[in-house]
Amino acid sequence: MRSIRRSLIVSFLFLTTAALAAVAWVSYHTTSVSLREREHDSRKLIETQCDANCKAERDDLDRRILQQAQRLANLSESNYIHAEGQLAFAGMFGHQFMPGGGFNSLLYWHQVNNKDLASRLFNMQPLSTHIASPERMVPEEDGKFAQEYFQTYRSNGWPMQRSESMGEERFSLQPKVRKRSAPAGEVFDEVEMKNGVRVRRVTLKAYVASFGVRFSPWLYKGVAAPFFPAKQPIRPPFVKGGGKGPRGMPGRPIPRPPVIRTHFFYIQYASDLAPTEAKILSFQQGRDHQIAELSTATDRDLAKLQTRMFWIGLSSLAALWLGGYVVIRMGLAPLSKMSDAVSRVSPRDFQLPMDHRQLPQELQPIAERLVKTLEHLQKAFEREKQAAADISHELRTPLAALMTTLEVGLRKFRSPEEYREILEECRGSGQNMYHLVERLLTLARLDAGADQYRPADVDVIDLAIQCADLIRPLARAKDLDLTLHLPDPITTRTDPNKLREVLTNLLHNAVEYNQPNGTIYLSIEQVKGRVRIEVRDTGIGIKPEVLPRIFERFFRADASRYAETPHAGLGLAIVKSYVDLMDGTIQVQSSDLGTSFLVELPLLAPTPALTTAVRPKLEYAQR
Amino acid sequence: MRVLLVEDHKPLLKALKRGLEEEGLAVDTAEDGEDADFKARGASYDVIVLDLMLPRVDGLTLLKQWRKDEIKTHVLILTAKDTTEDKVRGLDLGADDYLTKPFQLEELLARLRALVRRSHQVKNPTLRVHDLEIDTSARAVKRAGKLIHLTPREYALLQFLAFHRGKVVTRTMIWEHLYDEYDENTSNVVDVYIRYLRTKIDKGFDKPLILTRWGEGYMLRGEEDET
Repeated sequence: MRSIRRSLIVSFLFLTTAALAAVAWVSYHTTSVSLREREHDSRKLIETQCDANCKAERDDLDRRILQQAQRLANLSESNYIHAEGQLAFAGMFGHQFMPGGGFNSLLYWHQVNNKDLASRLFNMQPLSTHIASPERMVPEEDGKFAQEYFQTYRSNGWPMQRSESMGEERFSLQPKVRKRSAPAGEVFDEVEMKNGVRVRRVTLKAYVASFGVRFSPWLYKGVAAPFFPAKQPIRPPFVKGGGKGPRGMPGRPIPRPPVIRTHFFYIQYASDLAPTEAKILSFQQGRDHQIAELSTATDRDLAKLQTRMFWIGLSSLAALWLGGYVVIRMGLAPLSKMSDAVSRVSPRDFQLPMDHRQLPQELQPIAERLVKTLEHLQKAFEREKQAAADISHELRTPLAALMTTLEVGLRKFRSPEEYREILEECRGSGQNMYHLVERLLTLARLDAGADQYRPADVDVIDLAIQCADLIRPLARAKDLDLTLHLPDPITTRTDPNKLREVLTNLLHNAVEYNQPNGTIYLSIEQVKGRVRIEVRDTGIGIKPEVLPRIFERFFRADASRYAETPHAGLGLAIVKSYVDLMDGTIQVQSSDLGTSFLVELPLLAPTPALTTAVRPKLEYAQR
Repeated sequence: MRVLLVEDHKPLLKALKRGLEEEGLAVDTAEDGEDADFKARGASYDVIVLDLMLPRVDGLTLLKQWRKDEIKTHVLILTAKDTTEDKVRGLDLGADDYLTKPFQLEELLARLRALVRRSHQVKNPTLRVHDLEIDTSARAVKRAGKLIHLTPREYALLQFLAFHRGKVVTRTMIWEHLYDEYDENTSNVVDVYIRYLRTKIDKGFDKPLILTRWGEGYMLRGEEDET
């Protein structure tokens, strides 16, 4: 047996669980995605920061070595200027070689008067310069030179000078720098020295030719150069062929005389990469560490979220289940109340022992219907009870008469005449009971549907005459006039036995309830495809208030009718049932001048064939 | 003992009337409520046997009306209605007994006798007057142990006198209680029956039990009446 409550609860539990699971999954998914995105963004940020730091470190290194190289270049220029006097002097004595001391300079100054010689010398003798106290250029740490190196070349690529820190190491000039077409500027690269030290190196093509107009300032500036910081901006470290900075960069070699660029030399300055790389490595390690931490934190957050959502889901599920159970119980409470009430309905009063107006709106129609059904049931029950009482009453009275007559008759010896009289009375009572039982059986058969409609071709006029002949003696006995208004024969298909019963009953009533010297009219006519039979008497009539009830069983408009023949109020009930069975209608009109019963039957064409068809049973009970 | 029989079913009425009359009861009949009401108010009955379903006025309405109007005649309801509710309603409205159809005539007679005894405040069904013994249940009469045969009417007269023993009953009283509405009222009918009764009861015995009070009526000798 299906239980609404159980199925409701199960469905509710299932739905809430599913909904909760879906919500939990969606929120968990969303949260985890956003957490992962956040982690991803943070990782990007960390990586970017790290990259920026590394780059800054490299740039720093590059800038520093470039600065150093430029300072060297400036120093060389100033040294050149410083050497000018010597060269002017030397120019008058030809070339001068100064062996040893690591310092050789052969300089030709192109502003000397002997241009031909100067230009020749210049072409033959690349410009040399001398950097004063070059060791000072290399920073010291703890009394030692830092791992920084420099080397200068002549314009023809010959090595010219190198820092002490170089020791036995030698740099070489990259061929691409030496190309004549190579633009001025710095070139960064990384080289590995023989002792395995990796260094970052910048190669700078330094010009030493800016004379004339700018001579004087350069004299002082040259002298002071080592003590002024370079104003040259940082250049991108990895742009090959440096000096060609990106457009818009405020990077022009500032201290360079823009006039003549004929004499130049190369400066290479290098610094150990190890500290920078160590820094970069530490940056990267920091980054990796941060990323790992980030990932761990995200995982931890997600795990926490999972746990939290599990518990929240579990508790809300429990709350929902409990709430749902309670709500469903409460919602179904009226139903159980109603079923309780229904189970307490007794056949004694058929009352629903509850106020159905207190029920919820949804149950109102059911309750109302139920109350109505119970009312019908009660009425039917009472009708049944009444019928049983009526039947027993109607049977008991003649039975009592019969028995009393017999008992009285047997109390003493009597004359044969007396016995005869008593026996006659007994027969009368017996006949009464027989008629009553017959009628009851007729009604019972009608109720059970056993009394079937058996149509045949019937001449209604002929049948009416037969019935009238049957009644005539009775009418005559009561001094009643029986008047017939019958047209030519009317033949229709109907049940002759039932029609005869209807006519006899109606005529009987007309006889019984007529007044002395009254008249009984029986008229038949054919109207609009129907046969219309009217039985009218000139009796006292039926009171209007009981007129609607005269077709009810055991209903007697006047209880005194018993005085003559016991009909027990069944005759008209049978008439009505038969007329219904014949698909006809019956109407009654009554006044104090008499009562008229009007029966209308359908006029059906007679069929020549044998009548074997049985009409479907009319639901007589549905009247 | 005079009974009013109210019943609308003619065969039953006829049979009952015959049966009761043969038992020596004076029986008046009524077939509808109006007639019954008229008769009940006009004559003094010992018992009214009342059917409930009657034309015009039904039995219960009649009963209610009678009790309201202080008519104290005993009423036995004889009806086909056999449910407890009907019985209760009938008895509560003032009926003294209730009998359902169909019934045994003997039972009806016994109940009627009981009602008559009750109306005379007699419990013992055997009435004793000196050496006269009247068994009201068996309708047997003995004097000094000797059984005396009486006709129903003689018995009814004796019983009536016995119920009123020691008291004078007038001829009219006798008439009213022993004869029905259709009997011709001739003054000497009562005297004739008294003579018959005397012949059967007092003849051959020293002490006469049926006394004549001249100018008043008759009486059955009471315990103190020695004259």
